[in-house]
Order: sequence, then C-alpha cells, then structure tokens
Amino acid sequence: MGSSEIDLFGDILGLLDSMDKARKVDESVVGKLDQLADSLSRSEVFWLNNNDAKPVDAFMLFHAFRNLHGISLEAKSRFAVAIAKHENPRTVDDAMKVFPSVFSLFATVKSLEGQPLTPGLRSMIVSRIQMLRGTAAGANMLPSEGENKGTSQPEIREQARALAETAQEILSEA
Amino acid sequence: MRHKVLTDTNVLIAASICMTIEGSSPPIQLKHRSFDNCMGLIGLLRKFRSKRIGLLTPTIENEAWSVLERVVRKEVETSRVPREQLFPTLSTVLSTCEDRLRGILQTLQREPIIADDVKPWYARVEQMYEEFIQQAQVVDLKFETEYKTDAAAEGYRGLAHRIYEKQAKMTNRQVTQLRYDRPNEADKTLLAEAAYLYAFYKEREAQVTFYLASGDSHFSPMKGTAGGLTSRAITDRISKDFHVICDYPEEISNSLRQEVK
Repeated sequence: MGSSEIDLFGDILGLLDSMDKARKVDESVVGKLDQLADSLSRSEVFWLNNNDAKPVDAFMLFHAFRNLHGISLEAKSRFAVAIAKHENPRTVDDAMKVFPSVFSLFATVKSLEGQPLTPGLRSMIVSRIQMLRGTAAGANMLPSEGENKGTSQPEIREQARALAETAQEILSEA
Repeated sequence: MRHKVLTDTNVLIAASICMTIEGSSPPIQLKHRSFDNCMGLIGLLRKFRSKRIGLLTPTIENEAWSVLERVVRKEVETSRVPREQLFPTLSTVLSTCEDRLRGILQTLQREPIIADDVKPWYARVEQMYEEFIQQAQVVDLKFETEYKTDAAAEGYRGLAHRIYEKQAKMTNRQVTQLRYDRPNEADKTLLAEAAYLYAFYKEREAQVTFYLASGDSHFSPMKGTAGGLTSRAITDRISKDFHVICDYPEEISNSLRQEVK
C-alpha cells in the first residue's frame, strides 16, 4: 500500500477527529482531500489502461477507485462550500460517517492489487462499494456531476440496454 | 391471516435494472423487460413495510450481488466497445443498478437462517425434485395423447389428436423441462429456506399465507402464450408439501392487493 496514500488517510482522519472536537472546519482538509482525489484518480487511470490484468479484474478495481475518487471529490466540494457558507459541523459529521468506509474499501482494493480476483472476491468488492455508496448516500456525499465523467448519453443508453440483456441471459441460465 | 413474501433473486435483479436517460424530450427510460411487474411487487412490499411482509435471506442477498458480478464479467468479456469507453460507461450504469438494488434490499426484512435448521427441508426438496426428474424420463406424452384421442368421435380424430398432443405437451412442460434443465443447488436452497420460514412463522403466528415470488419455472407455473394452458405440477406439489405458493410477481401483487388490508 502506498505510504503517501496511507499518510493522507491518516492526516484526513486526524483532521476529521480534531474538527469534530472543535465543531469547526479546518481549511487544510480541502487541500488534503484534493491530494487524495488526485492519487485515487491516478489509480483509476492505471486500471483503465492496465492490459496485464484480466479485463474483468481491471474493471472491478477501476470501478472501486472511480467510486473512491468521486466520493472524495464530493467531500472536498462539500468542505469548500461549508467554509464559504460557514456551515461548519454538519459537513464534518457527514464526512465522519463516510470516511471510515472510504478507507475500508481503499484498504481492501489495495490489498487485492496484483493478484487474480476470484468471483467471490469480485462479489466482495461489489458489496463493499455498495456499503460505501449507501453510507455516502445517507450523508449526501454521492458524486453528483463527476459520476458521468467520460461518458455520453448515447453510450450510457447502449450500455444500459446491453446490461439488461446480459442480466436476462444470466437469469435464464440460472 | 398474516402474509409473507420471499422474493427470488431474479425479481430483485429485474427490479434493479432501470435507468432514466436525460438529454432527450421526454427522457428515455431503459429497463429490464420484467421491471414493471417486479417493481410493482417491490412497491407494494414497500407500502406494506410496517406489516413486515417482504422477506430476504442471506442466500438471496449474496446471490443478487453474485448475479451482478456475473453480468459485469460477461459484459467486460464480450463487449466490443473499446475499454476507455466501456469502463466509465459500465461503471456509471452499474452504480445506478447497484444503488437501486441496495434501496430494494433495505425495504425487505432480513431473516436469520441457520444452515442446520434448513438441512432437513433441503433433503425433502431434493427428494421432491428427484421424483419429478424420474417422472420426466418416463412421462409418455404419446400415450396420453392417444388415450384421449380414442375417446373422440370418428372423423374428428385427426383434429382431436393435434389438439390433445399440444395439450399434453403444454400441461406437462414444467415436468418435462427437467430432462434438460434441472434445478441447481441455489434453487433447492431457496425453496428449502422458504419451507423453513413458512414452518417458523406457522408455529408462531398460526395462519400464514407464504408466497415465493419468482420467474423461475422450477417454482412458478409455466404459462402458455396468450394465456393458454398452464403447466403447474411442480408448483402444486410445492404448495401441498411445503405450503409455499410460488408465482410470478404480478400474480402475487394481485393477491396481496385483495388480501392485505
């Protein structure tokens, strides 16, 4: 696991803790979240372009990092707005709910990098991503605009159609 | 009378696959072909959530995530779309479906299941399907057709034969499908869990109507096209032996609308 990322997580979790106690946003958290989002974005691009891993494994890790990246960006934007509008404790409370799950998914996918994923491990990643998205939805930290980055409406339409057909095929086979 | 509905994975997945595509007027909605019927039932279970009608077991929940994993694997392995386009798009679509599935799972009551308690039910379910598989090997559609045709008036026997042949084929389909399509372990576990849960509720709440909502013909009756003949020998046996009423989501929705006040 990259020590710089671990350090960043340590810094962010520490800042959240002190902000929670002070009930006030520390502006330095925005810069830390920016660095974290950049690092997660690099991992996202790494798995998008990684031709050595099995395509499905690369996708699962891409999907995980994309969610981590999107949620970190949303958290950064919430803190930026909180500083501007002086909405202090609410954003801290929301981030306190979400960041343990962000770290948990990050630690899971980092520990799985470099090894082939079994169907069970892939299902585990899917359900961990969902746990994170569930927490983020409850704390209003799901990515808003960024989620559709790099996609177009016709592509999404085609992919949704393909997914529905594949799901039908798999359920018929079961 | 209390009502309980256990939803099969196929119902949960079909109800999860729906996306509204903005950017055109009106926005386009893409959905699984069974979405409306499955979501109709989920909506009803959500409406009745205070009555704790909709149930979920860990087996079904795990199976639902596993189906999504298989869908993704197949999409990634077979899609001809370049990866730089496929990955972001698939990730967006998958997140939407997963969010829907999570929302649906939250409305159902999770039932604790102890594997040892389900074992005796699994053995009975397995025995029942074994008997049907034996029956599928020996069922003689020709004999059934000719026996009935013999009773028809002379001059109409050609027509009668065609009608009875089709009838025999249609009404026996649920059993004859077992010649080439047998229930897997997950199917048998699901039915065993349903039977176990019925017995559990029966002991505590006396009068219980227990439904298994599924599009799987190993449980639910096989309907003919355009409302034709239905094949339901397995469905009837499940109802008789295990007191579990297996049917399609739309049929169960209709029953619940009439029975639940």
